[in-house]
Parts: sequence; structure tokens; C-alpha cells
Amino acid sequence: MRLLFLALLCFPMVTSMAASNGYAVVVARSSSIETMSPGKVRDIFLKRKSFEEGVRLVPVNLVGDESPRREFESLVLQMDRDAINRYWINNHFQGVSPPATQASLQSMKRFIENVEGAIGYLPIDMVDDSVKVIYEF
Amino acid sequence: MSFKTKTIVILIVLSLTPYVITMFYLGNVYRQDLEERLIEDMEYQLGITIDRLDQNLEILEQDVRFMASLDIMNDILTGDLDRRITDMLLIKKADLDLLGEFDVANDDGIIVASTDLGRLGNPAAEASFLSVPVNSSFNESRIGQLSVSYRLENLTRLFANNDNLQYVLLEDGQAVNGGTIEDPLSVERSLNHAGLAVRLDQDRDFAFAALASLTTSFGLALVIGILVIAVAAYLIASYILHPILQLSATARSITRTQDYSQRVPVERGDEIGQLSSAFNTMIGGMQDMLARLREESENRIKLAKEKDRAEMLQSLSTKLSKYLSPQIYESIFSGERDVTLTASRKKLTIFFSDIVDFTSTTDQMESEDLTLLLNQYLREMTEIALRFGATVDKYIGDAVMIFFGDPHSLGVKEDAIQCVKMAMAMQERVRELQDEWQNAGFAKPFRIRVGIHTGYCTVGNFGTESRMDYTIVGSAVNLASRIESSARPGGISLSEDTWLLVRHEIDCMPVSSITPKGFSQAVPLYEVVRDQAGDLIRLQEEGVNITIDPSRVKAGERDNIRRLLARFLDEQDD
Repeated sequence: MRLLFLALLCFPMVTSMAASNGYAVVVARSSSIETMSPGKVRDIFLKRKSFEEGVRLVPVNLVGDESPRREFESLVLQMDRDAINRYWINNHFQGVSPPATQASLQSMKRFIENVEGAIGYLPIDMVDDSVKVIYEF
Repeated sequence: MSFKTKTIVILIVLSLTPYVITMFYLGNVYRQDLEERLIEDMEYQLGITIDRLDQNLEILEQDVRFMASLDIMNDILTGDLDRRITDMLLIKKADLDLLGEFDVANDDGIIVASTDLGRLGNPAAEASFLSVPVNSSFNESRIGQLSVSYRLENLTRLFANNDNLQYVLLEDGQAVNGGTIEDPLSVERSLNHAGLAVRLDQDRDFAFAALASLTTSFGLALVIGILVIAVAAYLIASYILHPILQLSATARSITRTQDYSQRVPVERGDEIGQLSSAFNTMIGGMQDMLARLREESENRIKLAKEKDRAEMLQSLSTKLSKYLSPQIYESIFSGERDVTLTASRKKLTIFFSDIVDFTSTTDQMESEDLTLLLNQYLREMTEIALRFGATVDKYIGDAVMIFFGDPHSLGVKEDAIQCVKMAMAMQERVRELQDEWQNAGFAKPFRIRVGIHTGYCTVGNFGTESRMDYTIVGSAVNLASRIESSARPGGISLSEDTWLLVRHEIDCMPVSSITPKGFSQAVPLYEVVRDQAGDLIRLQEEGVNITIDPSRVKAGERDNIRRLLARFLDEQDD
């Protein structure tokens, strides 16, 4: 029921994916994940889901409030910063901490390359053979 | 060592030993106490320092662990592409003012972030001062390590060292810094960090400076004490010794000079004064005793000399006695008569005898026989003479000179009687000896003549002071000698003087008178009658005195006697 609700909730996002702003959720090229729904991405980044096909997932955020994090939060997580902060404050007391961060897109990309199960986001134009796009936004 | 030195030494030892022992004891106790307090204090200070260092290291470790736990450590996985780790490390290094470097290595051991940028990409050192693992924030898996290459100056710079008090950091027992104090007081404690310890050194001289100063003061006090006591001891010893030295000097002086009249001045009433007094008393006693001894010794010497002299005299007199008449001898040696050239005039009875034809007889005899004969004769005669109390004047060859009346006298008359009796005894003895001598083989026996006279003589010592003779001189002596010469062999001739004295005792008869040489008048002589065979006719009554020796009456005289007697008888008849 909940899943259904989420699926319904995510539908408009999926539809809006077609209208890409030039960003992509990426994983390492070697990852077995090929595509991922925005809802799953959201669950992963809110640390509601930790494993995918037996692999521990490691979401990575960019530091600060800059693009493409802003776009990622609004488009994919569909939460403003206050909500996100409240969310993590609540979760902090339950022992869940926000995703790891990287200060730059390059380091984000290298992190994704180097860490198994890492999942982050990059501008499309930065995507190369080392990473695999599983969702665009 | 003199008494003075001994006294000084003894007083110094006695008085300063307790002081020295106490000072040493107190000094030791004080030193131990001081050392304990110093050690305690040093341990306390060291404790503070150790706590501070431990705290420092703990903070460092906490900081390092904290850094290792930060999310940005995930950047290890990106090779610290954004230099976030490096920036953080630099900031922390600056914060800590760290001497040394932080290094972050990935799981492959390659340094990905460091405060020393030159080390990036280098392999991390295997061992470092502090190293903590870094886990990823997302899956808690190890992704690398954060290590600190920590220079120990970080710790030693915290020490506030000076020349006297030094903290020394020890790494595996080896001093990292300092340790310049020789033979220090030390305390040591380990830090919590393995292999590190801190030693606190304190300069002993500095630590015990107060004690050293105190010791110097004590030493000075000791020296002053020794000097004061030495002076006091010297004065005391001098005070005590003064009379003893006087005693000693006096004793030596007495020994040297033998003057026992010397005395020691008695200046004090104490025991030493009493000693001086006793010494004086002793010397006084010795003086008296010596005087007595000297006197006694002189007496003894005198006595010994006298004894020797007496013995010598005794011996001499014994010898002399053989040459002297026993009476003379006795008279001289009993002290009745002085041996001086004195003489006195006395009436004496003088006796002479000699052996008839001695010279012609002796010519025919052997010398030994003659000596034997003469000696026996003289001995026998002398014995008789002495028995009758005669004084044997001298032997003149075979002649004997004897007198009566000096030195002992029984009276002139008695002396004369004794003399005549002696002469009779001698004649008797000679007759007996004649038999003995004939029996002994002497062919021609001796006969003696005897002449006796009584008259005044000078008797005494004659000669010189060095050689004198006790004898008699005078015409009476010559007369006696002449009477003897004219006496009949075997007979005893008397002078008239003698006869008058003895006639009532001894039978005599007149014989032909002589006129000796040097005498102007004839001397009538009498001869002692010897009643040899009991044929002597004697009649002595009042108015009659008849003595007839028939053996000597000549033939012509018989008629004469008869005629005289007939005339007397006829006249009586008428």
C-alpha cells in the first residue's frame, strides 16, 4: 500500500524526467544497477534503503547548496532544505546520519568510481565511461 | 706524648666527640629527611608534568581519533581530491602548534593527505607515533589510517628546565633532551604512551646547598671549638702540671746534686698540693734517713777499720807475743803501759843463766840437733819462768835474761824468793833433761849456771820511736851477769842483796866472793844449797845458823869445822 502510494507519488517525477535539466544519477560502471526509479533514488538518499541486489548502497551528496544538489533535492528528493534538515535531525536521533558528501563534482565522480555501491549525481556532460547513468533529471 | 698534649687531646676528644657525633647524626638525618622531602617534592612536580604531558598526548589522540571519525575522511576514497582532509590537517596542526606531520593514507598504504605536501603519494611509514584507523562513514569499513609523525620536542618544549632542575624525556630509556646534571637526584615516571618516560633531575649541590652551608657552619664551629678547647686544655693542663713539673724538676735536681734539703713550694691545698707536701715530707724523711745512714755507714767503716786494725793488731800481737815476755805483752796490750820511750827506776831481781861450755859443745853437734836441743831447753826454761811470774827479758844465744818486779811485782822480797825458786826449778828441770838427752843419744849433756842479783835498775823502753826494746839497764844487770859467769855449773849464785832477801826461805851458803870488772869492791856471793841426798846438815835456831853440805866440804875444812864446834861446846861446858 505504501509502495503503491509511493509509486503514485513518483509518477509525475518520472514524467518530468523526460524534461531533463542535464543532470544524471550515476553509479559506477561496474555496478549491476542499470536503471533506478526516482523514488528508489529518493529512498536511497534519505537512507531508507541501504541495499540493492546484495550491495550496500552509498549515496553521496555535494557539499553546500550549489547545483546540482539544489536541483537534485528539489527535483528528485522533492524536499526543500528545511525539510531535509528536519528530516536528518529526526533521523540523527535514531542513529541515521545523512549521506556522505563530496566537495566537488570531480571528487563525486571519483568517489562513485572508487566506492562500490556509491551512487551520486553529476551533470550529464561529466558522465563518461567510468560511470553509468541510472536516472536523469 | 706529654701530659699536656694528652690532656689537650683527651679534652678535645671528650668534649667534641658528642658534638661531632650529634652533628654527623643530625646532619645525616637532616640530609636524609631533606632528600626524602626533595624526592617527594620532585615526584610531585614530576607528577604534574607527567599529567600535563599525558593530557597533551591524550588530547592529541582524541583530536586524531576525532579527525579520523569525520565524514570528510571518506575523501580518502577520492584521494582527497578536494584537499578537504589536507586543509583540516593543516588547520589542526596549526591549532596544536604541532611539531611533526599528520598523514592520512588509504587502505593501500599510500599517503593521500598530509600536512607535508611533499609526502603525498608516498607510501605511509609502517610505524608512527600515533596511528588510528579511518573507517568510512557509510559502511564502517576501514578505508585508511590517520597517523601522526610526532616529534618529541612537542613534549620537551613544555619543560621549564634550568641548570639545577631538568626534566629529561626518555624514549625507551634513552634521554631525548638535557641530562647535563652530573650525579643528580632523580625521580622517574612513565608516561601513558608506551616507551616514554620522564625523569626529573636535580643538582645535588644545589639541592643540598643549605645543608652544605650548615655543614660549613658546623665545621667552623668545630674548628673554633677545637681552638677554644685546646687553649682551655692547655691552661688547665698547665695549671695542673705546674706543681708536677716543679716536683719533677726538684726530683731531678735532687738526683743530680744529691742535695736533699731542697723542697717543692706547696702553693695549693688540693690533691696535687698534698702530693707536693707529701713529696716534701718524703724528701725530708729521706734526708734524715740518709743522714742516719751516712752516720751509720761512717760508724760501720770506722768499726770495720777498727776491727781490721784490731784483727791486724791481734795477729800482730800474737806474732809479737812470741818475742815478748807474756807479762810485757799483756801489760802493753792491756793498755796498762804505753809503748813510749819511757823508763822508770825500780828494784828488781835479775836472773841470768847460760849453758856451760855451750860453744865447745855445739861445735860437735849437728845443726838440727842443736836447734832441737836449744829450743827444747829455752821452751822448758821459759815455761818455768812464766809459771813463777817472771819477765823473760831476752835470749842471748844460749843465755837467758829474766827479771822479777816489773811489770808485776809481789814486792821486792817475794820477787827475789820467786826468782830463786824459779832458778832452783830450772836447775832441777835441767837435771831431768840431762837424763832425757842422754837417753836420746846426746853425748855431752848441758849444764847451766845461774846468777841472781837484786838491785835498782832502769826499766822501760829503750831505743828509738821506730825500734824500741823493753828491757832493764843498770849496773845491777851487769853484776847479775858477772855473778852468773862466776857461778858453779849446776849451781845458783846469789849476790848478797838477794841472799838477804831469801835467806829465811831458802838455804844458802856463802861462797868465795868476786870482784867483777868495773866494780871496785869484792862482791860476796852465796850459793843455793841443794839437799840432794838428804845429807845436808842444817841448824837454824836463835843464835845459831849452821848449814853444812858434806859433799862440798873440803878435807882441810873438816878439822876446822870440828875445831869450831869443839870450841863452842867447850865454852858452853865451861
